Amino acid sequence: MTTEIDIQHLGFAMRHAWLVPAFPLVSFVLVALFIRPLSQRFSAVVATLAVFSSWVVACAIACEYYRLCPPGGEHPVLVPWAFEWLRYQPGFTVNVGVIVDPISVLLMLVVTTVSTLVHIYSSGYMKGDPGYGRFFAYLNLFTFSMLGLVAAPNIVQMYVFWELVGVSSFLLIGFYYQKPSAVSASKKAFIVTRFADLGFLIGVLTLGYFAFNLFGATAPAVSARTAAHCTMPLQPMDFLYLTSPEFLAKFGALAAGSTGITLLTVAMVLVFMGAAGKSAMFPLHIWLPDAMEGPTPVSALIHAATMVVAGVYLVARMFPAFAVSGAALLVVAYVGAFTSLFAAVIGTTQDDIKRVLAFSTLSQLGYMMLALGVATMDSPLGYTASMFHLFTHACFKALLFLGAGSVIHAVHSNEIWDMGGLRKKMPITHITFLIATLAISGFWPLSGFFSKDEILASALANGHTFIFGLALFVAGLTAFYMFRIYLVTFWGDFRTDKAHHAHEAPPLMWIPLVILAVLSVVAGYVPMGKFVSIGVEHAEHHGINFAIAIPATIAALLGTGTALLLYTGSGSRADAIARSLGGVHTLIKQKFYIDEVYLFITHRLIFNLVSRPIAWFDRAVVDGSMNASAWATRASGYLFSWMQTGQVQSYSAWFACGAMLVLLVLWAALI
Amino acid sequence: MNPLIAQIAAHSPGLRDWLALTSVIFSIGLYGLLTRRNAVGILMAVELMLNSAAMNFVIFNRFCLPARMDGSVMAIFVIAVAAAEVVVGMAIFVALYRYRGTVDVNQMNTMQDPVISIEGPGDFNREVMKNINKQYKSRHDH
Amino acid sequence: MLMLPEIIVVVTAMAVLVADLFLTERLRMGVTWLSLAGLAVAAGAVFATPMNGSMFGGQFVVDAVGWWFKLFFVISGFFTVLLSMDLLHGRTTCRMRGIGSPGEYYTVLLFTISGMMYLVSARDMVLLYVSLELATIPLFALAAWRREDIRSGEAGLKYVIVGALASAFILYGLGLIYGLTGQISLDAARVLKGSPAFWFAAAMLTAGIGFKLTLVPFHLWAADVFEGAPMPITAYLSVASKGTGLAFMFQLFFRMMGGWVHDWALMIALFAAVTMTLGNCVAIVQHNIKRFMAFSAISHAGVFIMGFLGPHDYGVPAMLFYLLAYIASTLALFAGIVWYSNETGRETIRDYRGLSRTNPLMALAMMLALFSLAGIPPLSGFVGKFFLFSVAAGAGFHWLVGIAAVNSTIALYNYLRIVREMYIEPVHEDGPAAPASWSLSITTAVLTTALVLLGIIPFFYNAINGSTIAWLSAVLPH
Repeated sequence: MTTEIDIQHLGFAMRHAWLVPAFPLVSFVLVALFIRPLSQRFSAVVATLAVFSSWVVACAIACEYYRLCPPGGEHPVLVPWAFEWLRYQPGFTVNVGVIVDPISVLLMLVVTTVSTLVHIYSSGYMKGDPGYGRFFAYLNLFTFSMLGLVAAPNIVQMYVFWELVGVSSFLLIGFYYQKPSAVSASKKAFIVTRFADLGFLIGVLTLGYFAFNLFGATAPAVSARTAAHCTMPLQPMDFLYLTSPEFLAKFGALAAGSTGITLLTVAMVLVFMGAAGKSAMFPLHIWLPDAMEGPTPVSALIHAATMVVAGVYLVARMFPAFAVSGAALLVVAYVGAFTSLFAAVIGTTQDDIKRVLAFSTLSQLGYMMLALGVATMDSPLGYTASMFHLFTHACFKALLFLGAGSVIHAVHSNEIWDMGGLRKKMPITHITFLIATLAISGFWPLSGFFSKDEILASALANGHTFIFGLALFVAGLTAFYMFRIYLVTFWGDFRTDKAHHAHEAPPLMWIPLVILAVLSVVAGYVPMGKFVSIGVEHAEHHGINFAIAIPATIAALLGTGTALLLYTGSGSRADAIARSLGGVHTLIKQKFYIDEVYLFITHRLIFNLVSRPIAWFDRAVVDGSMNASAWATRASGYLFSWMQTGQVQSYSAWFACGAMLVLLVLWAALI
Repeated sequence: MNPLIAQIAAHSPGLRDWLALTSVIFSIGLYGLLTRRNAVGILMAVELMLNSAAMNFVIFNRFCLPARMDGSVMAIFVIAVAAAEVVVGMAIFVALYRYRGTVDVNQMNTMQDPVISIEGPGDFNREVMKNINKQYKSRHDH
Repeated sequence: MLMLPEIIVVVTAMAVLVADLFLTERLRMGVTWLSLAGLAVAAGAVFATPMNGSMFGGQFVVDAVGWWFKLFFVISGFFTVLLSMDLLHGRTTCRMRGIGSPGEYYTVLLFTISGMMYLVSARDMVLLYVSLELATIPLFALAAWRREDIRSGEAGLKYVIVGALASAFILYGLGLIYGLTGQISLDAARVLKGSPAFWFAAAMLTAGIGFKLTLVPFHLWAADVFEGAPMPITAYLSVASKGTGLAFMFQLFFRMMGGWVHDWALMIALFAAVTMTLGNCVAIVQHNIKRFMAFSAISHAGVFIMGFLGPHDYGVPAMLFYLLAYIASTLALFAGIVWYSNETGRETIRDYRGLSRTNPLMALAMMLALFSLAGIPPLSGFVGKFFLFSVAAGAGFHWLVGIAAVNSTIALYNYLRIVREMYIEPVHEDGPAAPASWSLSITTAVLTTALVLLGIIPFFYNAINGSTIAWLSAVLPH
C-alpha cells in the first residue's frame, strides 16, 4: 500500500512545522530579556502558553501526518519545511528543517505534552523562588532545543541542537547555583556528555566525509520517491541520505584498514557513543544520578522523559545504518541490556527518592536500547517496542518524578526514611504515584505492561534468549525497588515531624499528576505497531502473548512480593539481609565505585601523567611566546601611535609620502 | 616687429610647457600646505593646487581636443567646488579664531595620541582642558 | 524615474531648511520628522528603481552595485538622524553647548547623503568629482559643528586641510586621465595602456581614495576628526564615509581602471595588510572610545578592500555584504555610545565599567555589536569576514589571510576590552546613566536584531550576491 503525497501542497500545520520549535524560542527571548524583569508571574504564563501552542501545532501535525499516511500503512519520511543554511560547495549544503515521520511526530508529542505539564507543575512548585522567571526562560530554551533536535532532518542540525540541549540541561541542573553540589553536578553532566559527544562528532564527520565523497555532487543516492517527499534536494548530511540503502550498501563495503571491521561499524559505534552519553548508558551513566541536584520538575522533564531519550531517538533515527552494520547493533543491545541490569541493582539500595528514580530511568533507557539492539530490518518489532516504551515511560516516569517532587515539596527532604505514612496526608499524590509504580512494574492493564511485553517478545522472537532472560530479571528488580520506595514513602508511620505536617500539593501541581496518571493508564492501548514502523515489514503485535506475559507478570509479582515482605512493618528484615550481604551491599550502595574509578583515572592518572606536564609546557612555552607577542603588539601600538602627532601638516606630509610610495609600488610592479 | 616679441611668438608655449607650469604650481601649493603656519595661508596653498589641476583640464582640452568643451566645463565646476571648499574652510577657521584667538595650525594639537600638556594663548575652554588633562592622567594611571 | 531617490533627498534637505525658518520652538521637532520621512521615502524610492538603467545619455547610470550602495547610504543616514535627534533637541542629561539649529544640521547631513548617492551613479568625471565634493564638504562643517568646543573646531580644521589636499590629488589624477583618453567619460579609461603618466594618475587617485577610506598612511586625520566631531557624526563618518570610500574605489578601480584590476591586486593586498595591522595595533593603546572607534574603522577598511582582490566575481558582493553587516554592527554600537555620552558625558573606555549591571539591555546590545565587529560566529560580522577572507584566499593571497587571521585576534582583544569593562569591572562610582530615549532604544533594538539576523539568515547575502554577480561578470575583463 503506497500513498502518494504532494509535498508542495500540504496543510497549514505541515507547511509551518517550524512553528513547533519557534514558539518556545520566541518565548525564551521574550521572557529572558523583557518579561522576567517586569513580572515573575507573567513569565510563567507566557512560557506555559508558548509550550502549549507548540503542543497544539504538534497535534495538528500528527493528525495531518496520519491522515496522509493512515495507521497500518507505510510511513514515509517527509521534510515539509526546510531552508538552506550553510552551503559549503555545490552538492554539499546543510539545511535547517523539520522532519516529519512517525518517530519525530511521537517525540514532538511527548516533548510538548510533558513540557506543558511540567511548566504548569513548576508554576506551583517553584513559587517563591527568586529565580522563578529565569527558571521558565531556561525551561523554554530547553524545550526549543529539544524540539529542534527532534525535528532535525540532518545530522548536523541534530548535532547543533544536541549540544544546545546539553547546555540547557547544564543551566537547569546548576539552577541553584549557590549550592556547590548543584554546580559540580552540572559541570559533571556537561563534561561527561561533552566527552561522549566527541565520539559523536567524529562519527558525524566520518559519515559526512564518505557521504559526500562516495557519490560526489551529482550521483543521486536515493530513490526519486524519497526525494519527492522533501522540499529541498537531498544533501549528504541528511538522515534520508545517510540511511538510504544505496549509500549504506556502498559505505558498508568499506573496511577500516585491515581489521576486518567495516568503516560503517566504526562510524556507527562512534555515533552510539554520543547516544550513550546523552542516554547515560554504562559507563557514561555517572552524570545522571548527580543531575538530580536540579529542581525536580527539571528531572521530570529532562532527565526522565525527554533529553535522556535523545540517545534512543538518535539510534532509532539512524537505525537502518545500525542494522546494516550488525556489529554496531549488537553493541547497542548489550550495552543497553547491561545498563538496565546494572542500574536496577544499584536502584535497590539507594535511599534518596530521586536517585532511585534516576537509576530506574537508567534501567529503562537500557531497556529501550536493548529493544533497538535486538531489532532487525526484517523483523522490526523491537524498533516499534522501543518507541512504544519510550512513549509509555515518558508518561509514568514524568509522573513518578512529579509525584516525588510533590512529596519533597511537602517534606523538604529527599530521603525516603524521612517520609512514611504520607498516603493519608497526600491522597492524590499517593494514588497517582501508585498508578505509576504499577505501570513501571509492568502490571496489566497499565501501559508499562504492554510496552515491556513487546520488548520481551522482540528479544525472544529474534533469538536473543540471554537478553530475554536478563530483561525478565530486570523486570522483577524494577518491581522490587519501585515498591520499596513506594512503601517506605507512603505507608507505615510518620517517621519525622515534617512528614507529620505534610499536606497535599496545590492544584497547579496535582492537576498535571492526574493528567499523567490517566495517560499512564491508557497509553498502553495505543496500537503502536500501526503507527510506528520502519521498512516495509510491519510490526504487528498480535494481542497479548501469554508465553511472555505470564513470566513477566510472575517476575513483577515476585519483585512486589519481596518488597512487601521486607518493607512493611519495622523494616528490620531488610536491614538483616543487608547486613548478611555485607561487602556486596556496600559495593552496590556505593554504585560499584564507578565514580571513584573515574576520579582515580582522571585525578590520579590523567592529571598527574598528562595534564601537569602539558600545563607546564603551556605556561612556560605557549604562554611565554603568547605574552611576548602580546607585548610586541602593544609596543607596536605605542610605536605607531607616534604618527598621531596632532599636527595636521605632518598628516599631510604622510599623505604626500604615501602617494609617492604608491607610485613607486605601481611602477615597480607594472614596469 | 620687435625681435623680442617675434622670438617669443615663434616659441609659443606648447603642451609640455603648460604641463610643467601646472606641476610647478601644484608643487608650490603642496609646499605651502606643508609649511605655512597660518591656516588661511594653507587654504591659499590648497587653492593653488586645485587651480593647477583645473588648469590641466583646460590645457588638455585646448591641445588634445580643441573641438569639444568637456575639459573647460570641468574647470568651471572645479572653480565652483573649490570656492565652496574654501568657504567652508574659512567659516571653520573664523569660528575657531573667535574661540581660540589664533589659527596657527601648530597649536591645533589638543587631540593627539601621546597627549602632552596643552599650552597656548587665547580663550581656552577650561572645562575641556581639564577633561583632557584628566584623561591624560587616567591613561597614565593604567 | 531613476534619479528619484536623489531628488527626494535633495528636496527634503531644502524643505528642512525652509521649515526650520518657519517652525516655532515648540514645533521644532518637525524638522526631525521631515528628515526621517524624507529618508524613508527615499529608501522606498531606491527599492522602486530598477537595478539597471541610464539617464542623460549614459552620464547617470543605476546598476545593481550602485543600487545596493544607495540603499546602504539611505539606511545609514536614517539611523544617523535617529542618533542625532536627542542631542540636537537638547533632550539629554548632558547638554551640548553651541549646537546650532537642528534644521541646518539635517540639511547639511542630507546633502552629504545625496552626494554619496550621486557618486555611485556617476559615469563621467564632472559628476564624479562634484558629487564626491558634495559628499565631503558638508562633512567638514558637521565635524566642526560644536562651535564652543575646541576639539570640534580643531577637528574641522584638520579635516578640511587634509580633505582639500586629497581633493587636489584626486583632481590632478583625473586631469591626467582626461589628458590620456581625451574623454570625460569614466568608461573610456578602461582601455588605457600603461605609461608613467597613467601610473602617476593612478597613484594620486589611490591617495585620494586612501583619504576617504582611511587606508594607511592616509588615515592619520581619522582619529582626531572622530574624536572632535559630535558623537552622531562620528558614527556617520565611520559608516557612511567608509561606504563612500568603497563606492569611490569601486568607481575608479572597476569602472575607470577596470583593465588593471588584476595587476593591482598586490598593491591592494599590501594596503589591506598594513591598514588592518596598524589600525588594530594602535587601537590597543587608545583610551577614548571615539578614537578607539576611529582605529576600529581604519582596521575594517583593510578588511573591506580585500573584496577588490583578484578576478573574482564574488569579491564585490562579499564586500557589499560586509558593508551591510558593518553598518548594522557599528551603528548599533554607536547607539550605545551616543546614549552613554548624552546621558553622562563620559567618553573613555574605562567609563563603561559596570554597564551590564546598571543598563543590562544596552550592555547586551553593545556586546553583540562588539562581537559582530570582532567577527564572532554566528553574528553577521563573522559571516562577512568569512566571505572576504575566502575572496582573498581564492585570489591566491594566502599570506594576507594569515595576517587577517592574526588581526582578528588582536581585534577581538580590543573589543573584549570594552566588554570586560562592561561586564567584569565594578560599577562606575558616579552613578548610572538615565535610561535610553525611545529613538535610541528603537535604533539599538532594530540594528541589534539586524546584525544577528544577517548572520543567521542567508537571504540577504544571497540577494546581494544574486543581483550583483551577473552584472560584474559582464564588466570584469576575462
